[in-house]
Amino acid sequence: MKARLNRQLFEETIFDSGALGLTTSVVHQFAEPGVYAASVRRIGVHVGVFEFEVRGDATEMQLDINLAAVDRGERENDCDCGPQRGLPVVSPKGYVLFHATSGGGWSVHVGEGKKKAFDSERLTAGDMFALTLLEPTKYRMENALGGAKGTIDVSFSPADAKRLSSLQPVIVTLKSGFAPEALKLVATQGLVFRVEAEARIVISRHGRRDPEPARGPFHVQRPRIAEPRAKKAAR
Amino acid sequence: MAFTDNCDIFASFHEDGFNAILRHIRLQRPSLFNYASLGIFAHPSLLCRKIDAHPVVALRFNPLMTRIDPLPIPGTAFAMELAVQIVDAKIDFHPGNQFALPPELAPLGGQRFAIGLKVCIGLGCPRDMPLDKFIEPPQDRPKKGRNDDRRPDPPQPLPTRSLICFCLDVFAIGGVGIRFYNGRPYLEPFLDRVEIVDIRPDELESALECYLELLLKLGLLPKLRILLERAPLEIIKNVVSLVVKPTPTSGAVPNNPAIEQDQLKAFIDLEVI
Amino acid sequence: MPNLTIAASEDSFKRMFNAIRDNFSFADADSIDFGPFTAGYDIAFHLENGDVDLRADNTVKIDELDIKWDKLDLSLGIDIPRKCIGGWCIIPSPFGCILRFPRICLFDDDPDIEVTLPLGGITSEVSLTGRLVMRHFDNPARPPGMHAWDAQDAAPSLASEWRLFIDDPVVDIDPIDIADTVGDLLEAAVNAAIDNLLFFLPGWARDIAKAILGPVIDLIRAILDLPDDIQEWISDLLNVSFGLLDIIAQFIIDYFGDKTPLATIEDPYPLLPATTNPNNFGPSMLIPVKVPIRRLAVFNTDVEMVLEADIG
Repeated sequence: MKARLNRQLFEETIFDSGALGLTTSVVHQFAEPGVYAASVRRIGVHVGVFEFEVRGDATEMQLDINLAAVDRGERENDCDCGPQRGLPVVSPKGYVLFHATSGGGWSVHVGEGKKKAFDSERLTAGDMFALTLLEPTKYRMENALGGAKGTIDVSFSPADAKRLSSLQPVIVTLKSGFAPEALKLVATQGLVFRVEAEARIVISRHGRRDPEPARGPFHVQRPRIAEPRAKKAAR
Repeated sequence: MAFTDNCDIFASFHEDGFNAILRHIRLQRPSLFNYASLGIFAHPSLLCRKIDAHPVVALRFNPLMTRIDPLPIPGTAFAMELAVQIVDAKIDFHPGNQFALPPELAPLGGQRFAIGLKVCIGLGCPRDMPLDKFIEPPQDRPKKGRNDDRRPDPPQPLPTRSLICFCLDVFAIGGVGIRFYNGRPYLEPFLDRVEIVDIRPDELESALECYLELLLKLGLLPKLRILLERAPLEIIKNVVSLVVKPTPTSGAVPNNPAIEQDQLKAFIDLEVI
Repeated sequence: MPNLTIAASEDSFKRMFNAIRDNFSFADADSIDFGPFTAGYDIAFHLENGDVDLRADNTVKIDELDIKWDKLDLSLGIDIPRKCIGGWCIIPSPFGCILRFPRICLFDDDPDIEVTLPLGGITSEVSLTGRLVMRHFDNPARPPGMHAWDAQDAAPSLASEWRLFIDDPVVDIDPIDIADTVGDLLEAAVNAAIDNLLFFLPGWARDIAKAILGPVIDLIRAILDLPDDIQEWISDLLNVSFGLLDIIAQFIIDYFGDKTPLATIEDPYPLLPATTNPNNFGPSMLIPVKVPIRRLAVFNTDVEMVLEADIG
């Protein structure tokens, strides 16, 4: 079949915890059991609701909610495990990870009844922002709700290409500032921000993109044919 | 010794095979063996011998006979219907063993064949017809004009109810050579001598022999020549860029074609063009 | 004694063989689904050379007949497994990972790439041995009752024939000998195909995408389950999995044994061609004189081929 390359993966230049894209996720822990309704928004516009249940007896420690799927009306995480049949469940000790498999500008607001429990545009202590950067260049990072700033330098070399699968994620703590403030990463390496103050983390490409060198035509060279058999030579 | 020790392609016809071929030629091309004036075409039952022909001859509207002029009656404007038929033909390649030759021809020489033929000649004699009406009356007044300015009309065949037939046993000896026509080699038979058995007086025999020799030499035999490449049934026709040539005679191939051991043999070389 | 004896020297027989050898051509294409990959071939070859030997035991052997590969394209359709990034652990614990980053895949499905390896330009060898045979062929398209003259005049001809074949020849064919550089060729072709797949990406993105896909040769080995010897694997693929040797051998057997006669002799044979009607009435031409060949046998010695015919 004809598979499509995920071009968006290579085209994102801004990574915003309040406007999620393909390579960014936010994590929140819902400590109170109950049924939650997540309002999914795209560029501030409500596009759908996703319900899930936090249950004390649940063993699931991770619930991934694909915001793009909610927009499409799909319920990727449906199951028959909750009292309201079809609702996905997660333990109060577990984590809900909001992400998107396509598009950008996604945010989510979760309230239990009228009480707002989580707003991805305004992370609070205990939340996490996880992402991966692909383009080897320089980035700026800042907390749009505070004054913290920092830099990220992403590199990629032939040597790096051989160790992609063994790279460990880098952990950054955000309180009044980023710790550490200057990061060095390898392309595709994981990056996790542990939020300890109100935050909206925005990472933007700072370095200039190098012009693309001209590419020549691809060609396959026929192998040089030697005399095929020894017996021919013997003749 | 292999057939092709001294040539590329070899073909030989045994006399039995050649006689079978002659039979097919007589059946499929009867006009080569039967000659008659036009009146006999309309009444082939008059012929001395009924013509045996392959059914395809009639299906393709091929003639049974070749038209010849009737025999003119000198001093008249009339002629007699005439038929000449070769009703039997057999060939004998050296050494002779198919039939006995008359003493004048025996024994059959090396590299020669003998042919035994039965030739029937029929004349349409209006013996039982009233001829008075064909007698020219006296001319009261001579016709005008100079006689040498007038061309004679073709003689008018006299009506007949039957032919007076006689058949002759004719023997001939001859050979086969290779002649080129338009650059292509043919196996072509030729005659040395013709002999008719038991005709008197001798001069009549000689005259008839001469007549039949001319019939065979000029009429029948040239039409029996075979393109050399057809002798081996064209087995190399798939091979382009080759021409067929007779193998030159030499010590190894003293005769080409050769008539020996009851066979007609042809030795062929292939030449790349 | 046969009515007619015809002999062709060994040289003449070689010319007859060479004529049909030069008309030989073979082309075929097929593909097989092996699950993780599909493989196909697109081949064409002709024959050259060949040492023709008439043998004293009434057999003919053609040795060292060269199969000249005009085209020997092997195509491999490979499903590249969906390669993804992410999946790394956000919150590890001594008992395992508590929270993982989602996986983000390069492609939305397993992408296919198709590579074609032009393996032609090589020569294989085949030999065949068999007895000569004359077979009578009656054209099945000829209506019943049609006589030989109408059959000859039909276009195309519907005439019966005697046909000379090598009867059910035994064919020995060498395995297709793949050049030992085929491994490099395959790797280069897959590399080029992947480059082609990623051609619209900027260079840095292509480098990263290729790093995510992993080394090409490892990728190929994993997908095709390749042993160390790629050359042998491809030879096996062509010779065994595709059964090309059987296909080619069968085609050669059919060609020389049944389809393409070394010589044809029309039966009845037109010994005297059509000629002009001697009369000035009736058809313009007289029919050709055809001589039926009742029996036609063939044999050979070590120096010549001999046909013996009897006239019907």
